[in-house]
Amino acid sequence: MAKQIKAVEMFLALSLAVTLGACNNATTDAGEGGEAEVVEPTETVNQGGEGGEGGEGGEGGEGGGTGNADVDYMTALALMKGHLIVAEELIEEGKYAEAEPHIGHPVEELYGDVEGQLTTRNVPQFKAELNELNDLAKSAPEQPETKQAFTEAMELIDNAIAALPESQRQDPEFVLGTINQLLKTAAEEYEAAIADDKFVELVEYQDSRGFVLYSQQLYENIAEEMQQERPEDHEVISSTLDELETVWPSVNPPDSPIKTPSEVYGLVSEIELRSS
Amino acid sequence: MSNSPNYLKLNTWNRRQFLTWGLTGLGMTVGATILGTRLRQKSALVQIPPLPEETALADNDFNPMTLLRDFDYGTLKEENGRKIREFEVTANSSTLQLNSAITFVSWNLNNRVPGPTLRAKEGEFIRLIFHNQDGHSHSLHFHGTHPVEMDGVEPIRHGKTFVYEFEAKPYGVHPYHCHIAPVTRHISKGLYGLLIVDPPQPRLPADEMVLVMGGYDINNDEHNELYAFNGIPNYYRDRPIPIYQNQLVRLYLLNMIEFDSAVTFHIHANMFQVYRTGRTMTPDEETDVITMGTAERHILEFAYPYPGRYMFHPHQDIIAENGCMGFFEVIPA
Ligand SMILES: [Cu+2]
Repeated sequence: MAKQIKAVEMFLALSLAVTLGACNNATTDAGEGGEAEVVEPTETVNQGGEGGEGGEGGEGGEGGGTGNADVDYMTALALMKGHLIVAEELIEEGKYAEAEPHIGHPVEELYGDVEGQLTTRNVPQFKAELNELNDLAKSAPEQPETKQAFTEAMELIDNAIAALPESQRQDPEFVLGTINQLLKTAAEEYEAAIADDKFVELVEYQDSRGFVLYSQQLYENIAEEMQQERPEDHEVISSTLDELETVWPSVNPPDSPIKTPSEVYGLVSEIELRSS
Repeated sequence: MSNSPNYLKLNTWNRRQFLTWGLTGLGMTVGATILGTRLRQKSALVQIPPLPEETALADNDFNPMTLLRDFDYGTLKEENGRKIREFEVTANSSTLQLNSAITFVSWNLNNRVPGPTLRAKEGEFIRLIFHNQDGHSHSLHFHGTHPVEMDGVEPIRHGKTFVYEFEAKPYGVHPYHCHIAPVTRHISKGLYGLLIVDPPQPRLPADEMVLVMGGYDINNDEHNELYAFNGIPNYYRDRPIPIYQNQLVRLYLLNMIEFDSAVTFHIHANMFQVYRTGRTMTPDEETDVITMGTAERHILEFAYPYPGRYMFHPHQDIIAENGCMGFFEVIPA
C-alpha cells in the first residue's frame, strides 16, 4: 500500500471499494461448482405496500426463482415433501427430537411462498394444519394425534400438488424443472452441513437427503417417457440420480462425507445440463 | 466514507468503472482526490490511528478490524424526484473459523458476520435488493417504521430475490435480521446487522465504529458455547482497537445474542454517554455499564483522557471469557 497516502485517506478509499465490492459480489457470486444462476432483480412485482400513507409504502417485490409460476409452486411443495420424508424416517427410528425441525420447515420456510398461489389456484389454505402438526411435534411427539396430524399434512401437500393438471405433472420439462430446483437446494444444504470435511450440521444433511429422495420419486413419473423420447438424456439423468442417492446412504450421516460439496454440485449440474 | 455521514455522491460514479479500477492505485488516488476537501476538514476534527498491519485472519472472508468502521452507504439514485438509497445483499452459508479448532457453518449476508452496516439519512427511501443463495429460506426483518408488506417475515426461498423498499425512519440505530423460524438459529448463525438512520442534522464528528455482540450455539443445544464482538471470538482481545487519546468515539452498539436474555456492556476506566436506540441528540444518561436485551442497541459516546489499554466486555463475565472481550488501545494524542 502506498505509504504516502495518509491512513485515513487510505482507509476511506479502501472502504469505498470494499463497499462497492460487496455489492458486486452480491450479483456475481455464483457459488461453488457451477451454480451459475445469477438472479437479476429486474422483475419487480408491484405487490408492495400501497397501503402506507403518502406513498411511504414500499413497492418491493419478488423476483428470481425459475420465472415459471407453476415450477415455482411445485418446487415449494416438493421441498415440503422432502422435509416430511426425512421427518417420517426419523420418527420411524424413534428420533422425535431430530424429526422436529423437518416438521417445522414446511410451515416456517416454505408455506409463505405458496400462500397466495393456493388462493389463485383454488386450493384450500392449510397453514393451520401445518402449524398444529408443528406444535404437536414439539409438545407431544409420540402421541397418536401427532401421527394423525402428520398423515393429514402429507395429504394436504399432495392435494395442493394435485391442483396442477395431471398432464403437467407427467410432463418431462415441467418435472425436470422442479427436480433441478430441488437438487440445487439439496446441494446448498449439503454444503452447509459440512465443515473441515466433517458433518457438523445434522439438519442440513437430512434436508438435502429428503430433497434428493423426492427428486427420485418425481423422476419415476417421467422415466418411461424419457426412456422412449430422450434415451441418452434418460441414461445420464437416471444414473446420476442414482449416484447422487449414494451420498446419503441413510437418514443418519456416514462417518465422513462420501462426496465433497463440489462433487455434489457437479452431479447436480450434469442433470441440469441434460434437462433441456 | 468510513467516518462521517457525509453522503458521498457515489451515484455520479459509474459503478462498473469504479469496480474495474477496484483497488488499484488509480482507484485509490481518484477516490482520495475527490474526497480530499472533505477529508482535510474532517481529519482536523477526527483522528483515526492507522490500523495495525496483518489484521486479517487467514481462514475468514472478512476482517473485523476493517468491518468495525465500514459503513455501506449504498448507491444514491434519484427517481421521480425522490432520493433512493439502493443496497444489494446476498444471503448464503459460509464457514467461519471461530478459533483454531472450531469451524462453524454460518448463515450470513455478503460473507460477513455481522452483515453490512447499512447507512441512510432519515427520510431517504431505502431499496434493499435481497438475494437468497442459501439452501434454507431466509428473510430480512428491519426494526424501525414501515408498512406490513416490508416487515420481512415472509420466507424468501433458495434462488429468489426480494426487494425491500421503505422510508428510512425514524432516525436511530436499527437492527435487521432474518425472521424465519427457528429465529434463534437463523440469527445466531449470523443473519443480522445494523441499519443506521442518521438524523437530519448530523451528529458531531467522531471516530465512529460498530460493535455487534453475537453468540454461537455450535452444537445446536440452544446454549451458546462462544461469543464475539463483530463475528470472531476474542478478535479485539488479541488485536486491540486503536483510538486516540481525547478523541470522541461514537459506538453503534447492538446486542444480537440469542439464548441469553441480556448482557451488560461495560468499558473500563471511563464513563460513556448513552443515546438510547440512537433516538436522541442529547444523551439520556451517563454510566459505565448498560444492560441490553436481545436486539437492544444504543449509541455510546466517550473519549479516553489517559493513554493505555482498556478492556470492554459484557459484565456477565462468563460471556466475556467465552469470546466477547476486547481492548481499546488509547494512543497518546
Ligand atoms: Cu434465516
